[in-house]
Amino acid sequence: MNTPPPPLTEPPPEAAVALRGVRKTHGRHASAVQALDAVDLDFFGGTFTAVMGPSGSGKSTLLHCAAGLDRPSAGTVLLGGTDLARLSETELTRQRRTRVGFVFQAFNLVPALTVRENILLPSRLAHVRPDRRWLAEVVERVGLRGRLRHRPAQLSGGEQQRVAIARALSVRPQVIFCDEPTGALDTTTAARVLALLRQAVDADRQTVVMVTHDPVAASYADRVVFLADGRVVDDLAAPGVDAIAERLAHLGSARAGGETPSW
Amino acid sequence: MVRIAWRMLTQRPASMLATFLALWFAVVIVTMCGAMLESGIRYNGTVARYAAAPVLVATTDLQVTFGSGEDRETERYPLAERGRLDPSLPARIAAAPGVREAVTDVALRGRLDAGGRTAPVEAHPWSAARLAPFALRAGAAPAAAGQVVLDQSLATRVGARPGARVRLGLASGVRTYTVAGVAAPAGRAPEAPTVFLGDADARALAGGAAQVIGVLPDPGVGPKTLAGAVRRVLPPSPARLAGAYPHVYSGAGRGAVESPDVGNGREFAISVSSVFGGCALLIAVLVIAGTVGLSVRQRHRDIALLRALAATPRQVRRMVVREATGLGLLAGVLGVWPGLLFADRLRDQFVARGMVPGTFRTHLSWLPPLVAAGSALVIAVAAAWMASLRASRIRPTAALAETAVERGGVGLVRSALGLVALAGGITLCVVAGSVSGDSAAGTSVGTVFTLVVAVALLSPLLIRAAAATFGRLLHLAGVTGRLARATTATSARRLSSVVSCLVLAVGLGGSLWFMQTSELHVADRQSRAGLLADRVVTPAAPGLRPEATAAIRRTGGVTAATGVVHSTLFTRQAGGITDFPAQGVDPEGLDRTLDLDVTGGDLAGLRGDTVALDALTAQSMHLRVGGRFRGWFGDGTPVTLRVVAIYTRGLGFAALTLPHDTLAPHTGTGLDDAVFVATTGPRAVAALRAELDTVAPGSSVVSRDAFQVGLDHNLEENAWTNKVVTAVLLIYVVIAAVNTLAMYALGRRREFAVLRLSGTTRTQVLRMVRLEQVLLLGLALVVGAAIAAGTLIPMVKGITGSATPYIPPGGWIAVIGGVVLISVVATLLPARRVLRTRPVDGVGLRE
Repeated sequence: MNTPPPPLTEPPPEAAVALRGVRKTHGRHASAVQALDAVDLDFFGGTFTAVMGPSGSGKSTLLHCAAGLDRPSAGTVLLGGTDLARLSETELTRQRRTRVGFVFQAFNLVPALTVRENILLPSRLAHVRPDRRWLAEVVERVGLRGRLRHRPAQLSGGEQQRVAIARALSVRPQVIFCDEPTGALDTTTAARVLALLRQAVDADRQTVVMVTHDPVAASYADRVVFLADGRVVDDLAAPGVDAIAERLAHLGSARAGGETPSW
Repeated sequence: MVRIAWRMLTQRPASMLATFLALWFAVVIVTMCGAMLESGIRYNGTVARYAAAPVLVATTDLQVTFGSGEDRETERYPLAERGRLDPSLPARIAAAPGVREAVTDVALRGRLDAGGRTAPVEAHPWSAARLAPFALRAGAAPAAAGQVVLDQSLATRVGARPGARVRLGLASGVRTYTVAGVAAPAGRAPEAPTVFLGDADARALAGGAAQVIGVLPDPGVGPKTLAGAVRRVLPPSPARLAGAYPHVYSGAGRGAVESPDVGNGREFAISVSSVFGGCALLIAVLVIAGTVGLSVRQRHRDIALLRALAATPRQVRRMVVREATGLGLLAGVLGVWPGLLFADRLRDQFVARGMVPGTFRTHLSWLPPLVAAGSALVIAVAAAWMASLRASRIRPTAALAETAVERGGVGLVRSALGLVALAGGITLCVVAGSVSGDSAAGTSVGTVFTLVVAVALLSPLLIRAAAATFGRLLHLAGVTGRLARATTATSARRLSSVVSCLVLAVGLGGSLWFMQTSELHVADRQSRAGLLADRVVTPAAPGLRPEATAAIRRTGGVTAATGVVHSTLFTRQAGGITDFPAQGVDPEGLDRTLDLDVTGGDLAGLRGDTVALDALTAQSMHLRVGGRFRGWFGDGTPVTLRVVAIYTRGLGFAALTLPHDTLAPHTGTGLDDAVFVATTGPRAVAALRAELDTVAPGSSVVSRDAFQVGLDHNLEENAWTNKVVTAVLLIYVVIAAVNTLAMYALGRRREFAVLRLSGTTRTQVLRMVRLEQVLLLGLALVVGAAIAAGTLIPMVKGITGSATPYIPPGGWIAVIGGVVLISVVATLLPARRVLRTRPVDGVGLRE
């Protein structure tokens, strides 16, 4: 691991993911909620971005739209130059399975499948022959070599999250999206998971976008984007834990009129 | 993909088992019915008595042409008795090319008595013996009047040898004959023991007309050529058929000529198995759609995860459909064997109960199992396809949600379809009032089915409405009540399969079962109220001769005796040929033996070509006193009868009452099936018994109370068959209800874990489940009962004339107790099991 491997893909000429004027409205009529309000945002290749904000600020919606899990009400989402809004549900899935990896907070793995099968699931669904050497390396990296035949139920929370990371890495996607990947983990376990994500960015020029409300987790990122009421309110380059916490506290109080932050 | 599908399936063994059971049961029932149907279609009886005659001419069915142009259709209905042939026919057939000889035959049913040993027999003319052929083994052919030849097995049975004297009781009287010889058939022996009379005797006794003409060919003439030649001699059939016509029978088809039971048995097997199988298929559609739908819904989160990760909607659909295909194939392979086995068992029961003759064989071929397995597969795949459309619409973001909450209301299309089904069901309820008899069971299943489809479509709304309305009552039960109301309202869609199955069980059980109890109850009440005679004489087979009835009448202490002969009359109605049970009685002394509760006209006028009608029959045929009943006797003879009276107790006795002497000549035996006797007391009964010992040995005298509804054989036959059909269909529906309930309960692991983690105790969770059950089962009972009542009341009114169905006390207990039992077995036990997992484990992975 001393010599960085050659770039997996040519460095993208533009952003790996670009959002242009993205709006998202949940519900209809009077009860409609504006979750995203004209968001313009670029996530550059080979970078680790954290998206933060108080509950209800629209950070999960942003992630869903950027990953092609959900369609924006208006605006465009470009994934490596492809406009996701123009794609059918099937084409969208094809994009997802080759170009996007996911790590969720929980309920991440198919309980019926073994660890190995879970990791291979995206390749299987895409009918792609997995790269054995790469897989072996991924499994080695997440430290699960002895656990390949286990079922998710037999693993600890941290191990499960590492399986999810291995699965995300297995197809060498353009972007890995993480939704609160450390939300259910203790500090030590969380650190290990975050280090794995950091390693993917540093060693493989992998792009990672992570939604979190934990300042410590966000401090692993190269860049932290702050969201409030569906808008980007701040964009800091590699801030420290204290700076993040302070910015967040400020956001929370500004928004809720002096109330304590909701996390 | 297949591997993933299989793994995800085995992860939920309960839902896999539920789907498999629903499919398997459908395959078993449909295979059984299909095998029975094919056996019925292929059933031709056996050819023994006419084995040597390649071509036969006889009248065995009634044919009527309905409609015109494209819709033109000819319906065939087997005659209850053998018809008589035109006397000029034998000579015309004998003159046809290729015909060596046309041998006439007639069958007279009676009873043989030899030295105290008796047996029911069929008497034939000796000239017809060569149709088998029978050959003499001892003695000689009957040369003079008063001589008979016995078939060998009969001779052995009664211990008669040539020279012995035997008494033969026929409708025309008892005569003593001398046994001239003993004969045995060259091949298989006919079903009925045979007595051959001299031709002159037979002609005299039969009244001249032949029932069957056996055609023997010239040497070198094949059956086909012969049949064609004979067919050209028969009078050409009119363009529009209405009546019984002689037909040419050859090959295996000759079996139906040997015994009228063959045609009736075939008709019975075909109609029972098609109604039964059709109902089973309808139910299977509902049950399988519900089970497959629920099993997909339960995996909502798994599917959403696959969608988020990399599965296209098409892949999800394919996965769901493949699962169903696999289960469907497995159910098919494992279901056809028990189905065929049960078909064989059912055949044994039918034979034992006399519904089909002993020669009925189950014909086992690959076709019914293939159809059964194929239709189950088609239903499974179609249901899975529907469910998969829903599944593929599951949003990938649902995988990321904290809890699975059902979204949205009931779609407009679904509501509209539900209302259409509801309207259709209500229409069927109204129409059902005009349907009667055999088709009632089929119609009621159709009606219940349509209404349950309506309930299934509208059930999310129904469940939410029930939760909103009765939920207030649940609030009285405190926090668990509030929980129960909330979970029920938010799981309305998943619960819709559960509720439809329960409603189906209650609705179907209620309508099918209580339909019968109502019919039997009214029949029983009518026959008890209407039978004035204090004793009933029931003769040994085949019946009681009219002189015996006369002798009973003359016995000291007997104030009145009414001989009753039973038969069937046919008439054409808008939908086809309808058969009515008919009884023939003598009006003399009838007021002391039988009270049919006459509401119009007078039974005293029952002489010659007249008839008295049951009020409901009269109503359905738009007949009044003075009107004309047009139809056919059981042997196919056309008849027009003047209506002289209308009575109400038709169900307890018979729909039609004719003068005894008008009906008797058209029954197979011409013998009385029962004699209703009014006596002055026990001493008269003793005298009666003594008299019977001499005139009709083997008869028994029973008191009025012991003489059950058994009057109408048809009713009893139908009752048993209906009971079996109802029981099997109900078992199926109940299994389906248990399946869906258990699946639902086992699928709540995560929900229970969340509740437990938020501080709800085990006892409280169980209490909540119990309260949910009260709500759910209450809803199912109310809606099911409404459906049952809607189906039942018009039909009961159509059949019995009274709108109140009779529900025995056991019926109430069974329905309510059964539903409660189902809930305990299928919900509380699985819920307890689910609660045994540690909440922390439960919340982690699965939903």
